[in-house]
Amino acid sequence: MPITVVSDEEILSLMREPRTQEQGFRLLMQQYQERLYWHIRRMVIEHEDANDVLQNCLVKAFRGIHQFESKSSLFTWLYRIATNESLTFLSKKNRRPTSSIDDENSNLGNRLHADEYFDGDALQIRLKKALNLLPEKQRIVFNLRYYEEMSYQEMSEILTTSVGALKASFHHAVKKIETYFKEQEE
Amino acid sequence: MNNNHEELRKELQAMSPFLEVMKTEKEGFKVPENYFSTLADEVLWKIKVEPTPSEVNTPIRKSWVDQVDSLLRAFLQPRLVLALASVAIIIVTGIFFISPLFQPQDEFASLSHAEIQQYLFNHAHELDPETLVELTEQQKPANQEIDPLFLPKEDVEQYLDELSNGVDPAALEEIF
Repeated sequence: MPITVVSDEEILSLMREPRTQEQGFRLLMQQYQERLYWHIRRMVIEHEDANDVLQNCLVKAFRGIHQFESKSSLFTWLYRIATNESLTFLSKKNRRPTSSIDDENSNLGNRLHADEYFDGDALQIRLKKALNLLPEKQRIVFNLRYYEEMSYQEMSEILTTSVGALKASFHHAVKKIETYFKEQEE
Repeated sequence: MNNNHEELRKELQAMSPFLEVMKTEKEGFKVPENYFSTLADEVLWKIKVEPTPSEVNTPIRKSWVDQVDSLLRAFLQPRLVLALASVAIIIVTGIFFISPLFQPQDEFASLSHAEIQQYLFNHAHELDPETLVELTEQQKPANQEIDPLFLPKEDVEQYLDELSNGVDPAALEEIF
């Protein structure tokens, strides 16, 4: 089915009318669901978790659309909700007792090997493990820049952080990943 | 987006050529078939089924009839009824064992000594002699010490006569 590109204004005006709310929401999802999914998936890794977080994010967007003030773009607002939902999910998950960071990282490797929705090679698994060791904020910055090729300005609006701080964060993340790969090769 | 792509490529070349090369490979994540085509229906169903947070948090004002009804319903929950029945059984059993009303009574406690003697005298022929001897032995204090000062004079003289039978009076005089 060809995807029709609809403007944010059109989506918003449809969603603000009870009669056309569902239609507007379907257009919003058509426009943004995939990008939001991959943003969340890269944070939470497993599909089932990503699905839960994305659904919560979309439910919140549907219910909170009347509070959206158009100060930022719809895309920025949705990414902000998705980021917060992912971080909330991860903080709840990290509260569960785990033995150590090393154990957790080797556990991630096993999970990816067993995951039917992951078919990356050994190098990709190693990159995911390296990302898993980064602080959450740094990981978000790396994902948005490296995978989604987002500009620092867009990232700054989503994460409400200065462009300079984001550049530094991305630089640190890249260096840490390189170091991890070098250590693994030794 | 193309500008961003080119900008990122240059940035990675400068920082980490290895990561720039890795970017050309596929990431490895997949989604189930038709996932994105069915997601909107799933989310809309969830929105219709799940109550909004405001609905959950809004307290509903109830009339007193509803309040009494809900109290009765809560009180008659099977688990609560079982718990109350258990407590009632424990209390009744406790009263039964503690209260003097339910203690076994000593029927002979109110009888006088004379009445008991009279009864035994009248029913002596019905009692088994062995039982009587046994009871007498049980009631006799063990190693009973007899104080000679309280013995009747006749008993003492009779006892001494029995002892002195067959004893030479001359030998007795020598002893004393």
